[in-house]
Amino acid sequence: MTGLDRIHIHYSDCSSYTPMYPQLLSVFDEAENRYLKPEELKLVGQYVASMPERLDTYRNLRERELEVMQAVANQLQAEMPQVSEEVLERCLKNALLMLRYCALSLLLNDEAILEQRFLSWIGPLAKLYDTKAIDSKLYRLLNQQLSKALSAKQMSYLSPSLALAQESLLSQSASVNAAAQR
Amino acid sequence: MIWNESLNTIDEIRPPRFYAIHIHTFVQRIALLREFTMLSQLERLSREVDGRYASDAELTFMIDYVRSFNLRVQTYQKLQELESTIIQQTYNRMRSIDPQIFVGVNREDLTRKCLYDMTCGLRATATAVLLNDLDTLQERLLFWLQTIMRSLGKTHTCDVLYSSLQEVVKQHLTPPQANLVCPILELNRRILGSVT
Amino acid sequence: MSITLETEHSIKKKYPKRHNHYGFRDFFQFDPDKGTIVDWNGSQNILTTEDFIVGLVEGLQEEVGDASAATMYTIGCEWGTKDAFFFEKWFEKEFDRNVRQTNLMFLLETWWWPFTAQGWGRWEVDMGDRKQGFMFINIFDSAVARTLGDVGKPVCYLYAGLFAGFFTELVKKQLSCIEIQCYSMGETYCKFLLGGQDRIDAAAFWMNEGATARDIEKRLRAGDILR
Repeated sequence: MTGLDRIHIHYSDCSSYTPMYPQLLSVFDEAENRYLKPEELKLVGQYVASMPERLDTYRNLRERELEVMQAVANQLQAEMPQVSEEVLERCLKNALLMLRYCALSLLLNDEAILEQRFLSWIGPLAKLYDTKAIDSKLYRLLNQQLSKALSAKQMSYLSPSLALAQESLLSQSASVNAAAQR
Repeated sequence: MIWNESLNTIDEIRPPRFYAIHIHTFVQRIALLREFTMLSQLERLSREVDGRYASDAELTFMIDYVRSFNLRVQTYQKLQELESTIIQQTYNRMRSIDPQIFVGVNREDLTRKCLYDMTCGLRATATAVLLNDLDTLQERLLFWLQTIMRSLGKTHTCDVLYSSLQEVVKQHLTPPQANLVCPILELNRRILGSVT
Repeated sequence: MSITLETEHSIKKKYPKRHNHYGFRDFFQFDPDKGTIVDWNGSQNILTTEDFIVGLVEGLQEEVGDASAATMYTIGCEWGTKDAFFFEKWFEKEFDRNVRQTNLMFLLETWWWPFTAQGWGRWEVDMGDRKQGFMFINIFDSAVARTLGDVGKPVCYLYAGLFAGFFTELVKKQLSCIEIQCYSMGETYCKFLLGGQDRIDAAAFWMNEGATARDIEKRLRAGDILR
């Protein structure tokens, strides 16, 4: 019995340090040298003040995820009957992951998580499978469903990372098409 | 489309994890500190919920932190405001306990160096109070400092320093504020002030 | 083990005089674009698993049989020797003073900290018998021993070599090292004896006869030698 401690380091933990909560980590960096200036304290305070709403948004997403994704799945299948179930399933799974990473991103107020943990590796995959047409429709349906499931305030927390993710993924596929047409 | 089944196989589309040996070989945790540690807990959370959602239980530390935040900021600012007074009074107290405590092996006066160290220690403690993060305090400062203090034979000084600091702090802070600060000072004392 | 490259550590750039830089996120800088892990002292690092250690040990065993212990010790010695030079440079840069003008215990703790940060284990140095020409080092959580588990014999040859190589360079006297107690023998920590070859030979002989670390310590302190 070796009882070794293992830290499962996901490859993306190895980030060139763009701290996840830049304000918080930099506080410790300066710690021994000086106290935080009032404006720095304010930044920390702002994040903390927003935490209850972020938590609510996150929890709401968690509770409504199945319902939202099922509705999207049904509509998507209806709108694209010619696409195989296998392909649709892959797109939906990716979208599900995207949503989860966006949720984490908004909870910790850190978009770097989204980029380093998700977009950095899903991008190349999206390019490979070239699902732009399906994803476009999927995201439209998803955003509709989300606006119904979340309050306007909650959507305002989610939108930035959601938009970032969707834009990034849709633009990936475009470059493949462009290259293929040359 | 049967959605539920898909959820179970989400792992397929993610890249393989790699593991690393990171053997945490440090001092035992002090039992009196059951507080959550904010910063490192956020980091741990983001690792553990990779690809899934956190449960309510996993999120309670955030709620606790939000509730305690105002008191923490208050305490932090008070420490900042009273820093020189606290340092001066701690210095005097240490001198009265042991008049030789600031005299080095070669009879040199260690006052300036000690005041500097005291100030750094107090500031690191204030930060830990603000962020409610003892793990980071230990990992980034105390574990290393412990070996250095032992190698230089300064454990007795640290012991006296951090007990004196606690007494002085109690005189200037309200009980709720002192209850945030003193356990951390005590942690400092136990880690830095012990010979083995 | 590690290659010194001219690479930049960004936190070090920002806080060059921070001596307490051994937290995981402080000491190592990860660059996913380049695929590198650079530590505070500019060395390139790789993360490995237990498989690496097992592979090293078993692979050597397969290649050279019983000579694997001596081989690992030799590897350790070379590593220690090289590291002594490397250490001298970064220490003098960080503390603006010569290694020989520094408090010895402070120097040693500073030398070992990168190893702790890298996962080699915590240590404790016992210089109480220095005047008699030998000393002891304890290692807690030896990476090799914990990986291999209880195999009934000492396994930390790499460490023994490392200490021998490093300390020989440091004190400019030929020193050897032997592990007299090991986690892989069911103990809670590993203990090493560092000293002249005659002392090491004596300890090896006594160990062969079944002496414990305690016995060996006693005999050495009593001035016993091998005739």
